[in-house]
Amino acid sequence: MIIFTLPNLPKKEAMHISQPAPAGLPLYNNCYSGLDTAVMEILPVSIHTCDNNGKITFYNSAAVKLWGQAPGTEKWCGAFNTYTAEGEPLDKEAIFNRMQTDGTPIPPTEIIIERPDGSVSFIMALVSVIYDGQGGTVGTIHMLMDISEKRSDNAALQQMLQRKAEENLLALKKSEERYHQMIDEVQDYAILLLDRNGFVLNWNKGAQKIKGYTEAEIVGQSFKIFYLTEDVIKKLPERLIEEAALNGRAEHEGWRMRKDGTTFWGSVVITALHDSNNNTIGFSKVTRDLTERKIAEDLLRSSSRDIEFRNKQLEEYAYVASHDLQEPLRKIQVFSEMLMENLDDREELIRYVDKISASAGRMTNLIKDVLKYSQLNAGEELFEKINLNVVLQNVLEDFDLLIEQRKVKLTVDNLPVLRGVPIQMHQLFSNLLSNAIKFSSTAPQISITASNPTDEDIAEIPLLNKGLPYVKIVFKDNGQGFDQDYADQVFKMFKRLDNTPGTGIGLALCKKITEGHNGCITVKSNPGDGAEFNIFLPLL
Amino acid sequence: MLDISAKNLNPQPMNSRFCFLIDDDEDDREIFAMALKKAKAEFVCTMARNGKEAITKAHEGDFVPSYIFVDLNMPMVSGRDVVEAFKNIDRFKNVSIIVYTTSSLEKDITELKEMGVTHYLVKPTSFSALVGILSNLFAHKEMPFFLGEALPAKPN
Repeated sequence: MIIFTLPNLPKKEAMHISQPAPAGLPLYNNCYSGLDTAVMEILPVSIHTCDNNGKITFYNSAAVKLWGQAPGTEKWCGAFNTYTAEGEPLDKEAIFNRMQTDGTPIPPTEIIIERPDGSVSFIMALVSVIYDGQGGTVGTIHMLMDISEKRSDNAALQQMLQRKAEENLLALKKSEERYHQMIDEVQDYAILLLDRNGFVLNWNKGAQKIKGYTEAEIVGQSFKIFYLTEDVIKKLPERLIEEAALNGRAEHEGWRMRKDGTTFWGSVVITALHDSNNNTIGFSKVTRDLTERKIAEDLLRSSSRDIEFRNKQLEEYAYVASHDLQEPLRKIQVFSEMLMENLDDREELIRYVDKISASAGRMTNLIKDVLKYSQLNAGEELFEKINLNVVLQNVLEDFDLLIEQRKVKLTVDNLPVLRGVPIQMHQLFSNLLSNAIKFSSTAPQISITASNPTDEDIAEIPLLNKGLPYVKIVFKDNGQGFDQDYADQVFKMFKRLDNTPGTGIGLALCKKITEGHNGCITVKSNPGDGAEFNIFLPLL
Repeated sequence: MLDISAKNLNPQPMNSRFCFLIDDDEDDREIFAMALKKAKAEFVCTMARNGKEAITKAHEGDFVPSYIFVDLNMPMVSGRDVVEAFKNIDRFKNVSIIVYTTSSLEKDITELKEMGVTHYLVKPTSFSALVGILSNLFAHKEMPFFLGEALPAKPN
């Protein structure tokens, strides 16, 4: 701002204005002869001066234009009303008095002026003090710039920006809502947000459906709560999120636990989320309940294992049958040939025919036995409550004659009642008794006893260690016995340890029957010491 | 049917040659003896009914058969055990051991071949076939190691 220094001139009294003075004429010509009023007059900016009391001493035509009037008795400014930029009435006295006392100029200030016709303008006001050269002030000089347009432009821009901001916010909200809805309503997948340490931040309907917790119950808890105790001990949850943090994602399939303690088979993908600096800030976890599929798969697998097993058995039967039928068949062929060469010898003839018959008979028995063995896969539906004493009595009746002939001394215990297939139990006892008698010595003694499995038995046989009650039935004889080394072999199909008559399938049948009843059979024997067959069967 | 115990053969006449058959099947022993008679009338046959008896006889006696025929599938002491035992008997060193069996398992054939048996003979279904093989054998005719039809392999 221009600072005016005045020459040493006597002050004149201020003239009171009763009427507006014509524009452009300095009111105090002789005071402001230094003023180049002509220049100020042509400036397109409103300029006016005031004395120390605020009375307007000079104004140019731009000022009149701005004010909408020539100044009257208004102090400091010729406008009808003046306000702050916020619209509060402007306390001009206070402002200018302060300025004069401490001499600091007023910084460019936005004000609002109101004209008589009610119109308003935004004004940038610049004011400075005029000094008299002796340290005293003469008055002030004011420049007022109309910034209404600029301001209104600004306002419009601001409004536009505001509107735009609001629009963006709305769009963002809508987008957020869409995503939220997209995730929330999904019922087939549990979609969760976890923080860096695995605490649940977010929940969706799918999560509630699959895992059982409501949002209120689970938000803030650690996701470890979904895992089985054994997995938590093994630190599986931690390992999975660390894998995700390291590799971006981690996949896993396994049993998980619901709120009510039941389990489901979950297929899980954990994805790491990053901030703009690539730090891991959390995880998204998507879980799918695949329990049904797993059960179906397991069923399929066990079915196919079953089928495989049966196929294998079928192949074995085919092999054994065809192989073991070869022998009697061969003999029939060979003896038939030999017979042809001995047609004249009647005794030889009869002998050969007998041998051929015998072979044929063996073939029949073999075929019957193989069939019996293959049919031993009884389903649960054939199981019923059986009194083993009754079964044993029936078997003893079958062997009545033989027992008498061989003068067998028989000792029989009381046997329990259990669940099984009656006809198979009969077969089991029958085979064992038959063996005992077949391999007996001259004074045969056979005992059939029942007891609890001993500690030794339980230690040797894992089957007995499952917490279920078993009975131990022992068929003991004092016959020729055999080497304990062959103990396993005796139960193999068609294995015979010597040449006594029989197809060798009896004990294999016994093994299959006991196993089909969830039990087992073992044997202890020594040559000359007889044999002790131990059958273990589950009690009711 | 000829069944001469080893003890009766001491001392051996030079032109009386004999076979030693070890087979647990009574019928097969009879068939063999008949076939032997047909193939080479002067050949006689010593028999053992099982492996244990065969080894005992071999150790107790000092006979040297011209041929030893061994069945494989015998209870307790198998044909394979017998072959192993006989291979350790000095005087049997140059005796031709022939497996005479129903089994045609690949592993049996290979194993016995490695143990040094001369032939592996599968019991034929024809009497005349057996006679023919024995004739050729005694006539020192060139014959393959494996004599007989092989059955299909056992499933795994």
